[in-house]
Amino acid sequence: MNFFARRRLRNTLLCLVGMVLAYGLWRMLKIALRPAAIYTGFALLALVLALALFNGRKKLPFLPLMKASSWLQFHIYAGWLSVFVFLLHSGFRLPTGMLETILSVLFVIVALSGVAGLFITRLLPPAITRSGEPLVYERIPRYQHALRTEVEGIVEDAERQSGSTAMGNFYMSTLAPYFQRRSSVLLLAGNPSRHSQRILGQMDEYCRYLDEELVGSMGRLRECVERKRNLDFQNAAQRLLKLWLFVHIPFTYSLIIVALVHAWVALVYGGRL
Amino acid sequence: MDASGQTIRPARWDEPFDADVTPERVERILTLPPFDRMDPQRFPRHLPLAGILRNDTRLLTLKQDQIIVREGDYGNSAFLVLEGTARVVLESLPREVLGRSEGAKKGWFQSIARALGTRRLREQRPHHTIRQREADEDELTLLHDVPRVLEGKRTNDLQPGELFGEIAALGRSPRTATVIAAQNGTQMLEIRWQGLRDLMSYAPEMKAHIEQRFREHGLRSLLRALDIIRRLPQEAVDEIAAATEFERHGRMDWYGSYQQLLDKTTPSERLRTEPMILQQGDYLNGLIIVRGGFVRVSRKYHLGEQTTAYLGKGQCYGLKEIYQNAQKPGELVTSEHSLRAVGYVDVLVIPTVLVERLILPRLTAAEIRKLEPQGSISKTARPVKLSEDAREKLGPGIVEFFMDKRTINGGATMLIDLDRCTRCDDCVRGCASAHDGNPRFIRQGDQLEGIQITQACMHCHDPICMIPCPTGAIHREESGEVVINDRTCIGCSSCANNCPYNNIQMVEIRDERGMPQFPVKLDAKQRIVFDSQGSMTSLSADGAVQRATKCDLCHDLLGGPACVRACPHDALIRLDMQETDKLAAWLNR
Repeated sequence: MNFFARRRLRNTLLCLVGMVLAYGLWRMLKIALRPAAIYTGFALLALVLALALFNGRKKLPFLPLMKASSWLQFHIYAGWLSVFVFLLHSGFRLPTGMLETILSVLFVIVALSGVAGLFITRLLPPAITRSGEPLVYERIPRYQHALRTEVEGIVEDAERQSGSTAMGNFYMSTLAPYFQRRSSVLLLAGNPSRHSQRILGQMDEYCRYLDEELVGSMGRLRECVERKRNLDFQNAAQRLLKLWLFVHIPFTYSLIIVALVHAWVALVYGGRL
Repeated sequence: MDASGQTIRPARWDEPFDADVTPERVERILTLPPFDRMDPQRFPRHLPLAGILRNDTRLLTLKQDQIIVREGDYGNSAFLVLEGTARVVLESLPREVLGRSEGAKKGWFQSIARALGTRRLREQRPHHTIRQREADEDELTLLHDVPRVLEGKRTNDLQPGELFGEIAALGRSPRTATVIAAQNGTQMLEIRWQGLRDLMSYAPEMKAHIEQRFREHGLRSLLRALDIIRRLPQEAVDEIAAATEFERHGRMDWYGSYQQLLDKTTPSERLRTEPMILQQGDYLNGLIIVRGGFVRVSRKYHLGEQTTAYLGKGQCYGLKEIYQNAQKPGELVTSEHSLRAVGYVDVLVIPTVLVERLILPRLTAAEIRKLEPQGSISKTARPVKLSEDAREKLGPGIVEFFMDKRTINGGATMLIDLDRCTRCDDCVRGCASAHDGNPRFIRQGDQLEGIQITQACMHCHDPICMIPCPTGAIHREESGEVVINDRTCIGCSSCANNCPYNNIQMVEIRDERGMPQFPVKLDAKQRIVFDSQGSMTSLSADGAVQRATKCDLCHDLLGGPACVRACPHDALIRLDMQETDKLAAWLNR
């Protein structure tokens, strides 16, 4: 068993123990007719605050506050535990009332975005690594511009040398829209190579109507299509790796604010303040 | 340049090692051995002997029991006893006795204060003309309770005219012994590495003297670092030291050409350019010990050669073959591998006859088991670099990859597992936050099988960048990190040009307003010339002042490198490439 498998097993077991303990305490509080919702509410609030501290830790890398990877492990498994405590707190029922509904929706969004983020950060990096030439996300527009210029140069050269407009026509009708388009994260839904495969198929078809010299130029364009595929995939994948945090983090802050309001309301109207 | 002013663009000897070494003192030093035997005419005009002594030395007057060098320290200086006596402690002293600590790490409050005070502008510095020398640099300490501490320890007294510390200074290796002042008022001349190098270049007697001293002193320490020799009696070690042969293979300036080789040649062509130390199938004339540099261990594989391991300083090869030949004299066992010099290699060869007579009879049962025919590369050296087992774990190609890229030189190479890296750049941000907003590495580099060798200083075992530094600004810390002292860096780019891995960046430094700093005009009395607005008069035609910057492994931060601590996905690691077991474990997590 390798390091990651051992760690996953250990942390999963710890998380399950935490869930069993939480459930046991919740049952005991119920049997003792104590206000279990108050206790689970505060436990949940504390968990959410502790989970949110991870982002704060990331802002302080110069302090010896344990490695960020240890914090992330805590974040992941305490996150699962918080989902369970949330279920206990809600009594395994759907929320009622405006504030509870808003709070529950926020919690679900944060939890789901967290789970999605976990899968994204585990699945996409190997795919990016094997996609092709490594690219720095911030420089992708520059690479894209350079590639487009190169393609246009190939087409212009081919036209000039052959005296035919065949390549120009094909470029205008098929290649230009493909090379000018910026990929979106939706590319990752389904086969990310579908666009490039379609273009390559059309290029193969078009080669029937070209002479040997132009077929050679088409070969160079095929390489450019392959590079564009890599650009598109890396752009989409790296963007998604950043985008999910723009959901997870702002909603976490919203969740904390609404949770504090909810706690205050519960205590005031419960006669405890 | 204005006739009334002069530029103060930093240059070598702008700031002498010690301002107290006056011309009069230099005159006196020149009358003392070994300088009185040197011919000043051999020195070039731009590097006169008196100039070296004036600028690259400093005088130390020491109290009794004051520590001059500590065992294990990295040092860039040699010491010459001028007056009094220096005592070399030939055995290791406890760490606490030497006052060792983790170094000047920043505490919590200092770290927070630094983060809050992070400059908004990149590479902002106080103006270079007002920087000051660090007053408390290299503070010496006393060895307390000497009679008790040295009780039962072997010592050796050095008299005036004797030199020590030169092997560590020139070999960029740790000090092998602790030296203290034996008398009050002991006077030392500390010669920094750059001066020592120049003295060796132009004074042949100095060169011969240092080489002879290595045979007498450094060689024994090096031999004693090997487990198989450590347990031998003194007379046996002396006999081995006297018979040991020195061999040098390859070129010292390998780093200038290896990148070109990499770009223009095939792997088999590159292998042929590496000088052969030992050919597969040859009889071993002796036990080969690597004194410096790196050795490629390879064997024939189909029509080519497969690299199976690499050896670094302090490792040996050939014990297994010598043992097997001794066991069965009738059956000739030859070398199973070829050894090649990667760059330059210094090796020591202990003749087979001495190995058979002095070393083999004292091997332990465990060591003998490893030398039996099924064993692999001799594991008697410390530490074992790369076993066949480790190679299998590393995977085919990765050893060749590390050899090709010379990553084996790294003492703290940054590797990124691209299958786990989410490209979030938290490592870069962490690095920047630990260095006043300036990241000290670039998250890019060569990669193979999803492992990236990132462009960050590797804190090399053989730090080539340190060789040309004229001021000693780039140096090795006690804890092993190669760092640049920003206060004494003159921005000459020598280190950056010498780094074979392009891991040192030259940056234009900026003032409080974000403007590049330029050399300024001085008047005849060496005072800064101000204009009517009260600003220093810049000599912008000379170009902006630069500084060399690189990763310092966050040596002054609690908790270690910020990049490693900032990575949430366990994708990044700093690894000593000689610790291949750790490397294999990390690759196979």
